[in-house]
Amino acid sequence: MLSFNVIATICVLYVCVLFAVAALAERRARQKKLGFLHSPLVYTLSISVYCTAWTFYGSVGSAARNGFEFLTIYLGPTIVFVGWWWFLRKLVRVGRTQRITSIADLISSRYGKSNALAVIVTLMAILGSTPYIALQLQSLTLSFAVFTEGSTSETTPAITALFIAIGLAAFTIFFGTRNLDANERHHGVVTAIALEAVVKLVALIAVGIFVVWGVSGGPANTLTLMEARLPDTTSVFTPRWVTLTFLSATAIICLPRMFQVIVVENSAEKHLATASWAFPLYLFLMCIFVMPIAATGLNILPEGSNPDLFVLTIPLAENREALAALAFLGGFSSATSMVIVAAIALSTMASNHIVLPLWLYFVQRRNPESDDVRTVLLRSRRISIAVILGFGYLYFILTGGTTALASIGLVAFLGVSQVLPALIGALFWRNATRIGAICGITTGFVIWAYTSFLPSFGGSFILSQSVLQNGPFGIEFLRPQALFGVDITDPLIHAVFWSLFLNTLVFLCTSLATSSSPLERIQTQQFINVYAQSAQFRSLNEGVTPEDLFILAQRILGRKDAGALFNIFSQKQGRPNGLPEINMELLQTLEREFAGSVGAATAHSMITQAVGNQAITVEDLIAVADETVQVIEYSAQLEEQSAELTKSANELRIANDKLTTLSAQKDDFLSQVSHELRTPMTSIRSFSGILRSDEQLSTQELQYFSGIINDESQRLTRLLDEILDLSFLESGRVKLNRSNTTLKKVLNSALQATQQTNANANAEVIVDDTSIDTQLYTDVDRLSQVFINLVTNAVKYSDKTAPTLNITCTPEDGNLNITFHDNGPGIPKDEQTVIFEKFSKLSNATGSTGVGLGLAISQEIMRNLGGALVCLDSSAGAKFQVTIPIK
Amino acid sequence: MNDKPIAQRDLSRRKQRKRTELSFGIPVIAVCLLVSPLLNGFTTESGGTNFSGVIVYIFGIWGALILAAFLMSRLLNSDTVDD
Repeated sequence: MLSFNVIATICVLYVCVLFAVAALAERRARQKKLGFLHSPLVYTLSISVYCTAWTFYGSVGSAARNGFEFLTIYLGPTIVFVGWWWFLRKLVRVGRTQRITSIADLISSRYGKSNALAVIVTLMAILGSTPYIALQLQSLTLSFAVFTEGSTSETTPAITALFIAIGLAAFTIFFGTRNLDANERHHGVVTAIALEAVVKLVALIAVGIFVVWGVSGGPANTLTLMEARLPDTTSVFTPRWVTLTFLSATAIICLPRMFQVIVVENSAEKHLATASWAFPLYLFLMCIFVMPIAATGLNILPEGSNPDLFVLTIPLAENREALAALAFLGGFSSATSMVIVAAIALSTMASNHIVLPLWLYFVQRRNPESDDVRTVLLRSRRISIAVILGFGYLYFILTGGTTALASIGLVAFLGVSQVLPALIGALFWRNATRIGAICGITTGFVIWAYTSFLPSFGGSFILSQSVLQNGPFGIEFLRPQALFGVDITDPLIHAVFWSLFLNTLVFLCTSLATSSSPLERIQTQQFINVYAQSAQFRSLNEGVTPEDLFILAQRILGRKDAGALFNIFSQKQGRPNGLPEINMELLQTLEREFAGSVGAATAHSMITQAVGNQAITVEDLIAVADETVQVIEYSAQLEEQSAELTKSANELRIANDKLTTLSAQKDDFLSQVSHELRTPMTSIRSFSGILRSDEQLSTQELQYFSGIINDESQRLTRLLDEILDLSFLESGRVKLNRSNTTLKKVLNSALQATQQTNANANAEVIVDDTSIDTQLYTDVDRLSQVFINLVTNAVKYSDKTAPTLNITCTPEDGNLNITFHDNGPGIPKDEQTVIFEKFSKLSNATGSTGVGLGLAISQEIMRNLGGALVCLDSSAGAKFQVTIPIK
Repeated sequence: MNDKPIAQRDLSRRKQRKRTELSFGIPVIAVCLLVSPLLNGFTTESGGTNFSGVIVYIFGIWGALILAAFLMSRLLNSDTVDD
């Protein structure tokens, strides 16, 4: 018979092989030479971590006790896997696009990155997994005990379990926390587990073949034996059948270790497609020999043998020591793989969602510069692994290792199943809210603990035996295994019904009654529309870091804007310092921002290439971005130049318009001048013609004609003088002889010059004496020319027999206003500005002899003297005002 | 000119839709056959369960499901996203 020492040695050697395989896989992963390790086969085999010692030993026990029932534990996962396209695919896609690290992370991420929710799920997962880990310790202890039976060894189950727990903790710490991979993949562990999966399948099939052909004498005999020995139930399909199938289907999704291997360790979605048939096949093969082994064990082993150990005890009873050793290794593999993966998954959750937030709160607040998060995470994971295995060991000691394997497993299944409503809501229901998830999960968790977990201690932990039988404080209504007086015979169905029913009800009602935060809505969009998202951004490349993206963003958006944008995201993600984590939202926002600078299509391809798996590196993209910036700068320069050109063109157009107007004015002026010149020229020419041709003119006639010629010549000269004068004045080239004088002097000289004209017309000029002595510094001749012009006009155009002209002077703001107000016909309002134009004459002017340049010249003189000449409104007569600056 | 590619795309889309509908059918059929009173159809005259009948029924359907899943995975694999 195999001694305990031999078995122990085999175990140590086997563990050494596992170490070697794991180390090799880690090394190849580091060298990026994964080869077949990165294959759907390894992925499928790693999923078989579902088959624990509970499967290996427990299903045979279950078959021996309850017949077909054990099959439900494998049919549930089979249904989930063949329907992978509808649920698992979405779960895996979300896990990959959102870089989910655990089921707690998934739930928390979907419900607005709620840390409270993550903590609740983590605690629940740890509590739910504890019985399961205890179960593995128990099965290992039992299998070891088989070999110590009858020997003198004094190893108690408690000590064996302790050694096993310590050994498993060491292995897990060594391979599970070697590195902090960005996406929490553990190639070494996964490969070791795949190897263990092969060992347990081979071991069970080997025992099965031996039992059918070696012990029972062929399939036909085995079938007869099964009908004879296995419990004969009248019906297979019972409420328990439905409940167990449902529970196992839930467990394959919700168990932390299953989530770890299916979602987190998934490296390609097509692996899931292979697993969809290969994993059910694995389960099929694991189950096919369970009933024959159970029936044979019941047949050949003595009454009272533990059916949970038939896989081991039948080869031993038949003296097949090698087969027994293989079977032992199979059981050992089942138990260890489960514990290792569960410990990794749970420690990741515990360190990410409990230890790290606490550490950041206490340490980072004191010392914000501290950045050894990595060390903290690794250390907290190592401690978590030890603590989790410690819990399992404690549960094992407390339950005393008496309960049948299967029932403990189901307690664990139900515990983790409480996440299911929130998980389905996360993937498919838009209105599911954070509060709803928290309330639902908590309700389910409390009811599970009360109706299933605590009673599993059989009255030895918290809930006493009397509470279990009579309810707390004797309230029968609240009996843990018959809540609300509903007496469901099967405690498991009772617990499943109440916990999941109330969980779902509370989740639905609370979700509908509350509304989600903006961040939750964004996450909801990302989760529920994950296929649409993935089409945009395939998977996130591990190669791209927030720093790279930041540099890229700086090149395109500019340092300031990029900094502001990244800060917003950091704060949103609850990171007071440093750059934000890369997520879809950040990428979409970046793409939108980039689109503003480089166009939507370029922005999209930039982002997709930055995060996708294209051959283009981020450095290349930065170069592209630099070029883009140059192009943008160049185009900005061009735009500037074009704006300048437009401005010049406008100025030119205005200048051109001005020139055209001036040219028209010049033409106008010339035609008026020639018209004015022609009239005197015509008379001069015709009269001089008469003088030349007619020699018999009388002296009187001769005098008359030459008088006309003389007058017209003078008029011509005067006209030309005036035009010349005006032209000088207009161009500002006139020379002014300024001197000190008084207004009185200028006015007197003007009145003297017009004295004769006034006397002829019987006109009276009245001068107001006020301010007449005001000192002026001006050109006396020019100013008096203006005055003469105004006085002459007043007299010349008057329709009265006794024209009157009032001249008044008033000082105003450093100027002197001199008003000339006559009693003539006045100037119509619409002609008040026209009269200052060249060659203009009033429409009602009669008997005028001027050419219409007088007022134009006067106005120009005043302009040259720094004053002004305007025509004012007046009720009677014309009113001109001369403004002249006082010295 | 463009009619042909559009028609082809339409056809492939319809094919794709049929495939996904078919992939929904497999788990539904699995539930209908494995979690149903049909399991109780194998009773012997004495009132007990006909073991071989139930075994053949369950494992037979199980095997068929694996085969169907295998075929479906080949059909659907083209739509998965890979590294």
